[in-house]
Amino acid sequence: MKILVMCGNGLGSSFMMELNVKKVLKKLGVTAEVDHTDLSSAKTVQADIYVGAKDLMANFKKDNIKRIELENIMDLNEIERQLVAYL
Amino acid sequence: MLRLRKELENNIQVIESIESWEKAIELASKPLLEKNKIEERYVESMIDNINKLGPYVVLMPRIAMPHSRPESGVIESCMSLLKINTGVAFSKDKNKEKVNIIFILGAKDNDSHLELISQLTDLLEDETKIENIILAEDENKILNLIN
Repeated sequence: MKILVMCGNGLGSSFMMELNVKKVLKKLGVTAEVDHTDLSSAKTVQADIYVGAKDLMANFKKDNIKRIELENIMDLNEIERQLVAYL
Repeated sequence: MLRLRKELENNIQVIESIESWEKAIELASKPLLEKNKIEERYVESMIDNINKLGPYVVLMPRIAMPHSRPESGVIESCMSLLKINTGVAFSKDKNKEKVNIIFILGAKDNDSHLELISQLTDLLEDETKIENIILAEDENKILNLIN
C-alpha cells in the first residue's frame, strides 16, 4: 500500500503529516510506503490513499481515489480515524 | 542543543496584537531578513501561497507555519517564531480559532530542513508545552521551553 501526503510546496506540512501518518501506522501495526510531495506533483503520482489538509485538498481534483482530508494535521486521533476507514 | 532551539535563538518576537495575517507574516520574517537568511520576495511568496491555496499553513488550532519554495528566495534554511498574545485570524471563517504562534519556515532545498521539521512536530505534539509557550511573557521564556 502506498500513501501519498501532500501540501502546497511539498516541503513543510506534508513532511509533518508523513511523520504523523507513520506514527499512526506503527501504532496500528500496518506496513505501508509513505511519501510526501507538493500538490501539483501529487496529481501525477499513483497512490492508494491521498492525504492532505482540508483547505488544500479542495484544490486537489482527481477522480475515484481514496482521500483523507485533515482538519488538524497534528491530530493523530483524526488521522487514525480516517485511515482505519480505508484499511 | 536541539537544532530547533538553535535556529529560533534571537528569532523570537512577542507582540500583543496585529491587524492582519499578512502583517504578521511580514513581522515574523523580519529577523530572518535582517540576518540574510531569506530575501524580501520570499515573504511575498508565502503570502501569495496562502492567497492561492487557502490557510492550509494553519497546522492545528492556534499554530501556523507559513512557508514557500526554496527557489522563492531562501538563502539558508531557517526558522523564526512570532507570538501574538491576542491572536490573528488566518481564515475568513469566523468559527476558526485565531493563530497565536507563527513559525516562519525557510527551506533551502528539499531535505536540509527535515530535522528541524521533525523536532517541531515533536514540540507541537506536546500540548502542555504549546500551552505554556502561548502563555509565556517574553522571548527568553519561550526559548527555555524549547529544549
